[in-house]
Amino acid sequence: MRHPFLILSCLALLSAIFLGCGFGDEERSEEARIEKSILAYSDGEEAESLDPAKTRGVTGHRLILGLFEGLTWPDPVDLKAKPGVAESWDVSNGGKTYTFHLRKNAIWSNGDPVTAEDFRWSWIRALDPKTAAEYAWIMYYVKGAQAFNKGQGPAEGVGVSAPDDHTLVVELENATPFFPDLVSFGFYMPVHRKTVEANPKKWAASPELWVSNGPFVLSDFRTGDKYVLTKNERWWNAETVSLNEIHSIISSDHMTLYNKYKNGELDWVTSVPVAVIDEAKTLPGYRDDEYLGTYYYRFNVTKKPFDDPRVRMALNLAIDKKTICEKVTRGGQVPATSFVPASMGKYTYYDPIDGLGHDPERARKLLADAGYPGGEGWPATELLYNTSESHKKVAEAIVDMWEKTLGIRISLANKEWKVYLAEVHDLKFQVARAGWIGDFVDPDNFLALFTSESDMSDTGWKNAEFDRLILAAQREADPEKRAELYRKAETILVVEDMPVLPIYYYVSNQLVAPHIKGFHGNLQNRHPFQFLSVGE
Amino acid sequence: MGRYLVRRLIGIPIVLLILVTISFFMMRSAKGGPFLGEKDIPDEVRANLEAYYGLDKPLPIQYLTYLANLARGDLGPSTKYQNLTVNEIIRAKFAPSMALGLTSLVLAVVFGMAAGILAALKQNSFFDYASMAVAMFGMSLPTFVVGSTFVLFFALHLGWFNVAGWTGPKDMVLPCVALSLPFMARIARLARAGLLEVVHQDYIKTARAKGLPERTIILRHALRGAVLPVVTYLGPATAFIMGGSLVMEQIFNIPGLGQEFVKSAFNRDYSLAMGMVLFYGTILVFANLVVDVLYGFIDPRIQYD
Repeated sequence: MRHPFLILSCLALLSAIFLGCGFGDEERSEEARIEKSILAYSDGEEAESLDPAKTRGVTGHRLILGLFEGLTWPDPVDLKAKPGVAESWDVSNGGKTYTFHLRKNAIWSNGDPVTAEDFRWSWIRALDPKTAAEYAWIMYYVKGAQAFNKGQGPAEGVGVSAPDDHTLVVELENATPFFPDLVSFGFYMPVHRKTVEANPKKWAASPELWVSNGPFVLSDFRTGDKYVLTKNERWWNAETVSLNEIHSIISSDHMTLYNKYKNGELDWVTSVPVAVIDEAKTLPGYRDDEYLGTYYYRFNVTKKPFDDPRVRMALNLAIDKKTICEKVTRGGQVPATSFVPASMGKYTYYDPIDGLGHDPERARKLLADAGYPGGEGWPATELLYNTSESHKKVAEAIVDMWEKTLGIRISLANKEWKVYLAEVHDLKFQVARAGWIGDFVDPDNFLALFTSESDMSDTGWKNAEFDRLILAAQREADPEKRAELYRKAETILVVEDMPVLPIYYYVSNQLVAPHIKGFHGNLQNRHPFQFLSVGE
Repeated sequence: MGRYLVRRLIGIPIVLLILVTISFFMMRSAKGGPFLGEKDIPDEVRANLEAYYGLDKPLPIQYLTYLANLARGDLGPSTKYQNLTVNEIIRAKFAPSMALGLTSLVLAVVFGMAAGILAALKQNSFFDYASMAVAMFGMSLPTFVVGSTFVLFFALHLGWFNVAGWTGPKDMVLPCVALSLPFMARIARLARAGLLEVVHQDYIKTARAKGLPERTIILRHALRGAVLPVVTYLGPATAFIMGGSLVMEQIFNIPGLGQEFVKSAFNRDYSLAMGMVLFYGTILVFANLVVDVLYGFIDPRIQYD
């Protein structure tokens, strides 16, 4: 009686295990991938969405750059806007009006033509408060966009119109010289209206419903596992595309991805764990390129002792950033003296200023002037950072430098990610670790963070002169004058008042297998897939 | 037995409701929300997002809405994965986790019991001491150490397996073996202790005196003594293995639910985190029920009514 029961339950258990394993498709070996022109890479985390209006992080943006085509493309070498769906564009009205002329042979992957109305509808949908798009602020350069997104203006008030199928007219709030670069960004890409309206919540995760207008289409998606993109033969420029398939592997463990690369299971990983950076540098395909981002500490200027700019400046002058980059982070990071990454000068009209360097003597004098000679009388203070080994190492080194140079003791507080974010947002900190990755290559993306009305400053700092300069710069069409205004503003930010303490500019440390051709390092690490190929 | 089962089954929804309620309010009391990110967003955008997910309503209303949806089997949308619902995420990711957990458990039980029984039968022999020493070692090593070592040696060094992935039975070998080891070790020790306790009892002496073959004595009579402590352990073991599977899923890049359990908490993805709590809570409650029922079959002295 009991034996049959036991045997049956065992069989049931075994079949439950093996029938329901949920295996994915076999991955190809490196030889097979080279033969079939398949690229296997990983950005790590899964994308929030493949809907251009809803994506947020690097993974989603990279995939969207392969699946959709915007008005322009970022050139893989210099990131400058190249014609995409827009063959050409005219600028008028002092730089405030852009008229894009769309090519007539652009079609969606289901054969429908891509029209100016597609862009207009997609932009309005992206700005619609009901869509609740996190990146909506990146479209605030368009006239009426912010009001509409805030629910304070009508959709008709947004400065985008489609007078005919192949003309898109955009009115901007101010002359925005980087607008052609901006429209290559994911948020500005068009979506297929019929597909989106038929399945508003599901379409972006469903290969069977998928319609897009870029060089690739979504042919498979397994949450937690991978995305598979296949060449879109209907793309107007398909004959220039060399890759047949792209596999984007999802994983939250960068060590695992690193091992997969070493074992030939991946062709490209976009980050290297700090723990193995020395070994990684010896592997074929290791590269580091400057990245559009700044690692910094922000001060809460509403409370003592950081309400005094002399104290903030003293803390900055006391740090030897070169040592931090060479001995602590060791990934080729560049010591920062300005808030805007120095490399921006190579890509745009803006050369960031040369801020404060390492000057322990001056630091000690400033601290004494502020009322804490040799660290005497220094109150209890805490440096807040989000739990992470790499942040901890940097913080420990810096706190040590402060103690040795200035005689002040600052304790370390590491908090879980969301708690850290909440405390920073609510100004419940004294000095906190921060990082800002740029969305587009213009100083405004960095400096406008700290205006009095910005929600993203999180420092409590308000400076009327800084506000005035930023506003004037945003309205200035002439690049030389614009640069001068931003430079004056940046001087206030990192030399005179210092609510922020820049530490280093980011670097992307990645591994790109030598058989991947056409890969050019650039400041945003954007590599449109149609320029990549697989070869011996 | 029947009445006992019914009583337990009625209790399950009540237990789960309490679990859901406590988790719901605890989760909301944690600092930080789903829309806080390194790239801060304007307040009006955050307001749009909160309205979209119903997070702008008063907490009791949100709770009741959640329960109402739950009654219809709808676990809600994920705030992190914007095109997937919690139901879809669980449906897609549950199979690999279950396969990993169950296979590891089966391996642990089969080999653990075999080792434990043999050790008990050969008490105080070299095999006994050696296997129990190995068991002690196995219980002390954290799963991530074992898992990573397997990857380094069997995948990277010997090239016998993929480093990570879940594409076929071959990919199950390293993670399932690594995950099963600490449980195998504990089960071996429990089985050995249980059998040793029984093997010296009078009724076993009687069986021997009757002239029964040793194999029959062990398998039909003494084995229950070994099995009972193992069965007791299976309830909490199921819980631990699910926790351990989270580590294995990360190291071996297995697209399972284990990782979501922690990630959803980190992301303050309330619906997904609640879904995880419910899912694992239900499994545990049923696992414990199965264990309790099995007692009745194994040990006839145990009565339920």
